[in-house]
Amino acid sequence: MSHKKANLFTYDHPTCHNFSANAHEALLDKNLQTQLSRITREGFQQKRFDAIHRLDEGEFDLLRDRAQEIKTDALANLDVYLERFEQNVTAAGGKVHWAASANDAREIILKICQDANAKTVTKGKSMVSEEIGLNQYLEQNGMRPVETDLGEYILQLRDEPPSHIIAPAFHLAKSEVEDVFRRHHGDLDPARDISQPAQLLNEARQVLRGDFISADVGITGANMLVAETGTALIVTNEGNGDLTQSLPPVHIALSSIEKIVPTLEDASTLLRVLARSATGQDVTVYTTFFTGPARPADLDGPKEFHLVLLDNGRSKTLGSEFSEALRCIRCGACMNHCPVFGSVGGHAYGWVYPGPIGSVLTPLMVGIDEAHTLPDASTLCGRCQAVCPVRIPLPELLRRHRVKSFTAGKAGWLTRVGLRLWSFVASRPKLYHAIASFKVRAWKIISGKRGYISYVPFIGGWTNTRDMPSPQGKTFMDLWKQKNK
Amino acid sequence: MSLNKNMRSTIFKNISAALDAQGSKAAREQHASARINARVRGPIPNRGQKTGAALVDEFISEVIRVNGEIINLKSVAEIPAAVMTAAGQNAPHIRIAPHPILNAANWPAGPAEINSGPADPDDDVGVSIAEMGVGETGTLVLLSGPGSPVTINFLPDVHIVVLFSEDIVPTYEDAWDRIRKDNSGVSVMPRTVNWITGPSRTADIEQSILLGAHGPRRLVILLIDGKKTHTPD
Ligand code: SF4
Repeated sequence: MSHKKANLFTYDHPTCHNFSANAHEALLDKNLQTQLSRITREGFQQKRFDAIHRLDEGEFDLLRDRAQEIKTDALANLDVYLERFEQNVTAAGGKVHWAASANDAREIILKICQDANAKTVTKGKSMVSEEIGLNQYLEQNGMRPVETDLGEYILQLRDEPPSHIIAPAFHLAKSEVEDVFRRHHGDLDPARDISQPAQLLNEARQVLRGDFISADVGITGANMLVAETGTALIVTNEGNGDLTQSLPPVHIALSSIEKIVPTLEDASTLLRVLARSATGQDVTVYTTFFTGPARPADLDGPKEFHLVLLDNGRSKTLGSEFSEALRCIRCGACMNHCPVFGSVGGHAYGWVYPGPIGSVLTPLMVGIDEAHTLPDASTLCGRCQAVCPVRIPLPELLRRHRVKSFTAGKAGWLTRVGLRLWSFVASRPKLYHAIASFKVRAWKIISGKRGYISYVPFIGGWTNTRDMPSPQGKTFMDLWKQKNK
Repeated sequence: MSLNKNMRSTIFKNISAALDAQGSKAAREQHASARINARVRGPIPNRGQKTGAALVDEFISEVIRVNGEIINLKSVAEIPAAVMTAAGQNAPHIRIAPHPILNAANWPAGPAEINSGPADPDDDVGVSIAEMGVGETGTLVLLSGPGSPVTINFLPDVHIVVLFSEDIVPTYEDAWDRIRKDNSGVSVMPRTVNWITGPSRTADIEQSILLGAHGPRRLVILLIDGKKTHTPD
C-alpha cells in the first residue's frame, strides 16, 4: 500500500475543483470511514454535549452570546485594537511583523531564522502555518522544521496535510502510524513492539526530546491576541507548544489579524467556549499566555520574541458580505457536526481549512475559480451554525458564495437551464400546481407497491446511492386547500 | 524594515476602508479605551462562584477528574518528605524552583540529587510553586519569574506543584484581578502565565486518550492548608 495518496493538496496546489472525485474516493475508503465515525458521531459530538451539560442549564448559550459579542466588537474596532496590541508587545520587548500575503509571512519568518543562524526549527501546531505553506518553504531554504504536535509530526513524516483543524491525523489507523515510524526511525530496534497507541506515543516523545533541546528557533501559533496587555495565547494538551516556546533562544508566534480580543476577561470567556466546543474539555491541559521575551531576571525562556501577523485577504473580507466568518475561533465544531465532513473527511475539500468554515474561507483565500465546488458541498442543514460557539451563520455565508459563483457563471449548464425552468414555473402558481399534482400521481405509479423510487431522471447522482421515498398522498397545496375549506 | 512599514499601512488602509463607513477612527479609539479600561466580565458559570470549603472541594474534585493527584499537607515543613514520596524510587534527578519557600526547605542529602534552577533534560521530577488555583476547572496558575522557571513545568516526567489553599480563587477573572493588583493595578504581565489543568495528554492516535504526551506524565499537587508564607515555620 502506498503511504500517500497522489491527489492530496498542498497549500499552493489546492484540489477543491476535484471535490466530487475526492469525495467519491473518500466514500470508498474503508479505513477513513472507520476513523470518521470514531471522531464525529462517537467522539467529538458526544464529548461536546457532555461538556455543555456539566454547566448549568442555559449557561453555555449565555457564554456563546457573549463570545459572539466579543468577536463582533473586536472586528468592528480592529485597527485600534491591533495598534494597542502592537504597542504593548513592543513595550514588553517583542517585535510585531505585519505580513500582507502568505509569501510575505514566509519571508519574514525565514529572515528571522537566518538572522538567528538557525538549523533546527521546532514547531507547535499552527493552522496559519499550513495556510502559508511554511514547512515547505523553510526546507527549501535549508532549515529543518520539526513538527512537535504528535498528529502533525506523524503527518510531516508522511508528507501529508492535516485533515482536521484540531485533530490533524484523525484519518490514520494506528497501523499506518506504526508503518511510518518504522520507516523513519531506522536506528531503533526493528524488533520493538509499537503496535499500540501508547507505544507509538512513547517513541515519538523520545525521538522529539532531542529536537526540542537542540532547536535554534521555536515557532508556535496563537489562538488569541489580547490588546489590553500585548499577550498572545495558545491552548494545547500535549505540552509541545510550551517546550517549543520556552527552550530555544528565539520564539516566533505566527497568527492572523482577526485573532484579536480586547481584554483578558474577553479571552477568558472565549476560552470557556473554545475547548468545550472543540474536544469537549472544560479547558485544555495547557493554556499559555505569553507576553514578550524573557525578562532580565528570568532564568529561562527565549531572548527574542517575534509576532508575525498575517492578513492574507482578511482585511478585505472585513468589509464584505463574508465578514462574519472572521469571528471564527477555529474550534472545529462545525466540521465535527457536518454530515458532509462526516462522510468524506477533510482532505476531500482540497485545501487547508475543511468542513463548513473551510467552504466559506477557502473561496476567499484561493479564489472562487478553484473553490466554487465547496459552497455546493453542503446540504445547508444548519447543524454547523447551531453548534458554532460564535454563532457564525455558515449556511447563509455558503449561500452567498453560491449566488456569487452562479452570477459569475461557475454553475454547470444543467443547473442553469434547470433553475431558469424552475423559476419560470415557480412564478406561475397555476402551472406549478398542475405540474406538482401530476408529478405526485406519476411518482406513485412508478414506485408501485414498494413505496420508493430507485431512479429519477436527471438526479441519478442522488439516486445512485439512495432510494427516494415516494410521495405520500396529496401535495401540500391540496392539503392546505382542503384544510381551509 | 521599510517593507514591514508598507505592509502595515496596506493592511490598516484596508481595515479603515471597511470600518470608516460605520464611524470615525477617533470614535473607535474612544470605544476601545473605554472597553479595555472597564474590563467587564462575561457570564461566570455557577461552578465558578464557590467560596470557602466548597471552593477547595470543587478545586480538588476537578483536579482528580482530569487525572491530577492531590496530597494534603499541613505546613511547608512537610514538603520535602511529600516530594520524595511522590517522586518514588526511580527519580534520581529532582529539580526545584529557586523559590524562597523551596530554598529554605529541609531537603534530604540523598539518594536523589536535588538541584535548584531551570530544568534540564535529565530531570525526572520538577517542583514549583503555584501562584493560584482556580476552582472552576481545577486549574493551576503559574507565573514565570526568577523564582519560577517555566521549563520546570514541562520538561520533567513528574511535575509537583505546591499550592496554598488560600490561593484558590473561584474563577479565571479573579486570577487576572490578582495578577494586576500584584503589579499595582497596571496590566504588566510576566513572560508567561501558565494555566495547567492535569497532566499532559493526547488523543492524536485513533482518538485514544493517553496521558503523558510531551509534557509531564503525572501532575501532583501538594495542597497546603493556609496562606502562602515566604519563610518555613
Ligand atoms: S466556524 Fe464556528 S464552529 Fe466552525 S471552527 Fe469556526 S468557531 Fe468553530
